[in-house]
Amino acid sequence: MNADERSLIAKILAGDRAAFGQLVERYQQRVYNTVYRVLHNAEDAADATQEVFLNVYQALWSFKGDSEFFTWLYRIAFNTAISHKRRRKPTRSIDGDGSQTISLEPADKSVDVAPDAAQERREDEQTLMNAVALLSVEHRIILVLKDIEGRKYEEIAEIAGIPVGTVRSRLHRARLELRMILNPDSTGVWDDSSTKPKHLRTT
Amino acid sequence: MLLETEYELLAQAVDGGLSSEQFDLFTTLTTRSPEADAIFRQLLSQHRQLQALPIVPVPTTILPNILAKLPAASPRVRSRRPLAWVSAALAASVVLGIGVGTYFFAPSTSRVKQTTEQARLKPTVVVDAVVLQPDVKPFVLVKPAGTDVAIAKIGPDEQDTLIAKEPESPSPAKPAEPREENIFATGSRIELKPLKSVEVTLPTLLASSEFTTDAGKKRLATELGRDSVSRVDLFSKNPVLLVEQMQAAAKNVGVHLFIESLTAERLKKPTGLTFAFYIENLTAEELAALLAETSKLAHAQSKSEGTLGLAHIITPGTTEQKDVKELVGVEFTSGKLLKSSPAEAKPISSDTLSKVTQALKKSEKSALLLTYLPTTYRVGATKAFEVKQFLDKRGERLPNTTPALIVVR
Repeated sequence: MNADERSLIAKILAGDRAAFGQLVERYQQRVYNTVYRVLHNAEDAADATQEVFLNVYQALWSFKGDSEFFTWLYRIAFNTAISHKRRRKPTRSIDGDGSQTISLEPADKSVDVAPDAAQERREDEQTLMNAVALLSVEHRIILVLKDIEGRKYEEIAEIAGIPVGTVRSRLHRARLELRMILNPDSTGVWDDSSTKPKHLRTT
Repeated sequence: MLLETEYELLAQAVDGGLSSEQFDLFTTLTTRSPEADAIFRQLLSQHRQLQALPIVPVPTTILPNILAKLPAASPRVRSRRPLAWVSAALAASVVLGIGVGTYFFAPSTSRVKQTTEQARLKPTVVVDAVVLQPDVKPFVLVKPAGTDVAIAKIGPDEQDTLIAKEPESPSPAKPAEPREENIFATGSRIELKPLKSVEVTLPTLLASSEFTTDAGKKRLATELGRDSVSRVDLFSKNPVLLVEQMQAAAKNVGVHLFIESLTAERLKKPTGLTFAFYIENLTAEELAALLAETSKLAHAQSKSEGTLGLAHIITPGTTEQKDVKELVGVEFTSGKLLKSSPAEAKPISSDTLSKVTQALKKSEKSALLLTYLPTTYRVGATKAFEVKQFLDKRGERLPNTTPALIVVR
């Protein structure tokens, strides 16, 4: 933890609300983006981000500085995102029994607009994010933290509270699972249908 | 058709973090199997696409919404309130206990002299009010029974505790009894007696260039043997190189070194990390010899490298105890030195030789190399295979040895 963060935290603990505003400004973008990639919905991500920072404010006194502040903040974001996801599950099930399907095609397929390179890229991004949304939440979070956020294995292990070995195996499964979603006709590690994730099984 | 382990290998290769053995397997696999090669390219492509995802702009409403929903009290005030209550309750208990004790154990002669009027001022107390307001620290008012005059205000701060106030007499006839019988009326405070002596242990700073001289070695051994455990900090411009030199020095003086695997990986390139050697079953003289050997190797390098500067020797405290517990899972407490005792000498029996051989095998001179700082890079004692190996082989602690934590920073 750097001196600037330490000073900011000390001010917040002394009751300086403006200092907390600075802290939020500093980290909201990274937290929002991570939560958005996990929840796959802008409104939910905004709600969850607010919840993360309110939780941080309540629990800040318990932050001892043993780990990096950002890792501690991410741990709260991780837990908040999971609980948010579980609360929303009945209405927005994407890893449920497979009865609901989410299209891998981009949402906006307007034919009136000539598909230029930028639009194609946007469509590819949307397709990719739709595929990420089909992963189980545990796999999705690891994939987001590693492949999108570029966090180290040790940091992810600390954030998720699991051993580094588990992080590695979940990440590898998530990458292979994502490949299967994006390339449904390809062969994969789940050729034995009994071990295949429900949403990838063909009926 | 690929095996599950081969799929795993391909997914792992995306990061490029394969060991040399895995890399060989990966190269063979992708060369031999076009399917594997295609899968790897797909995985790599999706990894790059994920990395290239644009940053999503944060809604401008988030910050104002958060600030609007913040609780009125600061996090510190909220967290400390229960503690304040505990201290107020404890203080109230002490005062009540003293009051009751004074009543029962006061001299009986004086009690007989008490008039009915005086009896109203017996040290029987009631807790009159527990004050708790948002901006005021909680406190308790204590009053003698039958009066409205507070004789003590008990709060969480030390200065508020046991401030006894002279109770005003409720009637013109003042009690004639000596004041010292009323514990609340003594008005005395506990005074600290002057300290006879203060002992402060200062860390010892030694220049590494002195380690190789006889006088330097002697001083080093004296300092290291001062307590039953020791911590040495070695300061260097290039900690990774110094660790390598210490590894070589350990080999030269016959200390077997276990290197935690992640630390070994981290030592392959210069990093800003701090490393630590945990050493057992070496006497202070042997530790001094190890440091002298390290110094010799370090100073054999060109001066510009400057791998070993100062050494800083301290008596370990609770921080080191916690660190060693976390890193190695053993107790690292200072105390009396474990000396060999003449009483241990016993007649040689038939199986002595085998026992001694076994003991020597078990108690080999060994050390463990780990990542020390930042703490997030530490591998817990229970997780590291090399720590288990080290603990399995360390055997009993030998007499006159000084377990040491040598930190290279």
